[in-house]
Amino acid sequence: MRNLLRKNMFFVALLIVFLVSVLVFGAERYPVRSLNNIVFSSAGGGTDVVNRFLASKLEPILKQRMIVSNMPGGLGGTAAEYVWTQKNDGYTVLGCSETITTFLVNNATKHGSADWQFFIASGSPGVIAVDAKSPYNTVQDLIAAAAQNPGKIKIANSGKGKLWHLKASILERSANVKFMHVPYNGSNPAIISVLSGETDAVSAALGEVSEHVRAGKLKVLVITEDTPVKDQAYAKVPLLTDLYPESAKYFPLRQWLGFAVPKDTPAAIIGILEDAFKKVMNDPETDKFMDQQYMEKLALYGQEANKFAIGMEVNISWISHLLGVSTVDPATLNMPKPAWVE
Amino acid sequence: MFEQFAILGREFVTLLSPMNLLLQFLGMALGVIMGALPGLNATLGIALLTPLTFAVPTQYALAVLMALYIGVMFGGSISAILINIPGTGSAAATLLDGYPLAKKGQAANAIMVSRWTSAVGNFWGLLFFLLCAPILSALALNFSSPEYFWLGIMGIAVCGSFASPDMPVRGWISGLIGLLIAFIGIEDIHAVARFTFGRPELFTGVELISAMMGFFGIPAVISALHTRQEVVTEQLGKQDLPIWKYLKDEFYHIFRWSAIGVWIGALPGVGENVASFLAYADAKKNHPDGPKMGTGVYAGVAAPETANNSAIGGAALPMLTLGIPGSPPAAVLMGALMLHGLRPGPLLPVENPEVIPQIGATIFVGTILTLIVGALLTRPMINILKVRPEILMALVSVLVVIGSYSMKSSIFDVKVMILFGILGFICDKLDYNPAPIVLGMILGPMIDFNLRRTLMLNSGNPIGFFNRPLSLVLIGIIVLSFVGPIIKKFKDPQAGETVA
Repeated sequence: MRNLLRKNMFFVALLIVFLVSVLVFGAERYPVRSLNNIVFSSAGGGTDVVNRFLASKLEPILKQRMIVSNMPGGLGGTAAEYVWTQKNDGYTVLGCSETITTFLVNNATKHGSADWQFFIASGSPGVIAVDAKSPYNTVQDLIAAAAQNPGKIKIANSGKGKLWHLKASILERSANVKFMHVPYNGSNPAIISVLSGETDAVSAALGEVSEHVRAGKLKVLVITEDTPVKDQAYAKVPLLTDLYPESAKYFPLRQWLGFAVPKDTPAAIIGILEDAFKKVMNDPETDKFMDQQYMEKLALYGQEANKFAIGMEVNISWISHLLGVSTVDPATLNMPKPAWVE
Repeated sequence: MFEQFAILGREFVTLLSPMNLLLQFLGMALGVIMGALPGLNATLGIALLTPLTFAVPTQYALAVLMALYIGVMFGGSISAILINIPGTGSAAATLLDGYPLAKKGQAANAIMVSRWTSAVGNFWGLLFFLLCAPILSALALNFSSPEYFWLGIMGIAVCGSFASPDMPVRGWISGLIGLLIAFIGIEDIHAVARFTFGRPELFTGVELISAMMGFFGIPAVISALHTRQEVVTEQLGKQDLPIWKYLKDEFYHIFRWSAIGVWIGALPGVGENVASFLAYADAKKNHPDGPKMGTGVYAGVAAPETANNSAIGGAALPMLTLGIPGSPPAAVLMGALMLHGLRPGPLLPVENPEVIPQIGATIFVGTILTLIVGALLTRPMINILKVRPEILMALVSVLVVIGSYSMKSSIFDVKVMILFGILGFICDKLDYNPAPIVLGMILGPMIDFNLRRTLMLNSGNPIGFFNRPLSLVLIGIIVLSFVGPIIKKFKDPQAGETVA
């Protein structure tokens, strides 16, 4: 009998420990272990660089490690699917970029922007750059050459249907010429293709070409944005919307980098992440980092971030469709037609 | 070029952090044990460990996996010497003289020679790796789409003719099978799903690590279960060979064997197994002890052990700088690097300049650890070798299932693993080497994307493949590797067998 009591005592004690631990380590306590940030593209790219920076800044605030790993492939869909299949408890986040807004229209996964809660840190403006020794000194030179040789001027991009392909396509459509768009696996190989002479120009982020511009190997012909770049060194480079005002209708269409968690993550956890993210965005070191990377701070989270991402998803999907780039008709995805679509 | 060594020095210092050293030590110990246990080899070992490294920083993952790779190469010799069964294919040549040495009561000396020559071989491999990496990286800017295409084709052609020297056509068939498997999934240009049968699990292609676990794991399990080997362990004996004097006297020959190892290691997909046999053959021909080989001379242990370790540096070089793995373990290692988001290839030094010096530093630390861990583990190994393979293989079966599941938490990948296991077993039975299949799977996307991009760039005109000097050089190598074996067969019908 005493033996039995002792046994029961043991279980009672266990129960107490269990209950206490539930109270202590319950939903309010987050994070109690390290977080995983699964970046959906290769190491060394813009998305990776920003997420590694964010992780290093979030760690002291969350008092937990954030381990950044890369899972490229399937246009980014591989990592997105992986994060979705994990427990949606805020311990696994998806390091992502604006490419996530092209997932639905390119059929990369079934999880579109509406399925995520975004934390958007920054973005770099788009440019079209050529080799420093290239005969094209202005964008007009490039357009004139394309007009003379339709389909012969080769423009490299980071992948079909991605933002930089679309930006080059908007220039093409606005100038009423025909380029040859050459896809590469990411911006780095695309930039190298210009340097090796395989292509004539590259459409990419200013942050990604700036080192080569400073080294005197590339020159920037046009900024494929509707708002000027902060850096005075590029003040003389024309904006796409200045050259072709009618192209303004395609904007806002910009790069953004950050991370996301599945939308069904508990609100309290999303709140904790938002507070930490806010602190990182207000850190002066963040501004310094962004300047170095030729990025502009966006600092979007919560409702605002999602409104931004979903708005861009509609825009980019229809542009993709109109330019004949994507395979899926956005109308079948219940995306409202923007006003500018004829 | 000297900058490379400065970075190496820095990486070496960071490698001395306690965590890194501990991981390398564990990886090395695990490698030596895996190498010694018959049925487990470096390829399978790296594949089994890769899923575990996914959640740790890349640097740690590299440290563990490289240490394991190096450890296996030495570990294989222990069982070859003590029980007359090669722990891995790379030690198959070692037993020819290692076991007779053990019979003479000189097992401890033989293992010591193996340990030291492994370390020296490693070092020469590393030196070659460090000297050639910047040269190959400097060439990277000359590589454009057609060159990448030819590079991929060259990998398959060369690997095919070396992996099955007596019947190269089998190697090429394997390579083509690998290419076909690589085409499964959403392709890179138009995002069109190919050969997926509408199954979303296949959209991202066949999971490389799962496939390799099946490929190398399942046949190992089956063959361990259907053959029963009685293990008789020889006595270690006294360890009394003056090793420094031995290394000094044999300096020239050890360098020679290292060079063979490096060269064979650097050839696409041709790994340590071939390297060790070629070095053994070289010793037989050129070493003063040559005529006595097979009766138990140290040169017969030193030659294959030097070569299989120097092959590591050789195999890592084209894997990192060109994206073409030099050996089957390097192929899995490449899969592991890609899992960590790195892209081995000419752009690696641009995108992740720290990786090549990191691997160099890891090999260097591994060289020293081979001596320490090797000495520590030699004695306990006698007991470890008594573990029955049936028990071990049960463990392996569990690990391959867990490993392939944990990659994406998907039971589909486990099915993929089993399917590839069956394929691997069939290949094993039909005498088809799996190395070119794996190489084909890795090179497939590169060949495919660059073939089509070259055609796009030239508006469909195939002239773009032939009008650049570097392309022509690569084409020359491809033609040679196709024609070479045929000429060799024609001139000397016996030539193939000595290589095998």
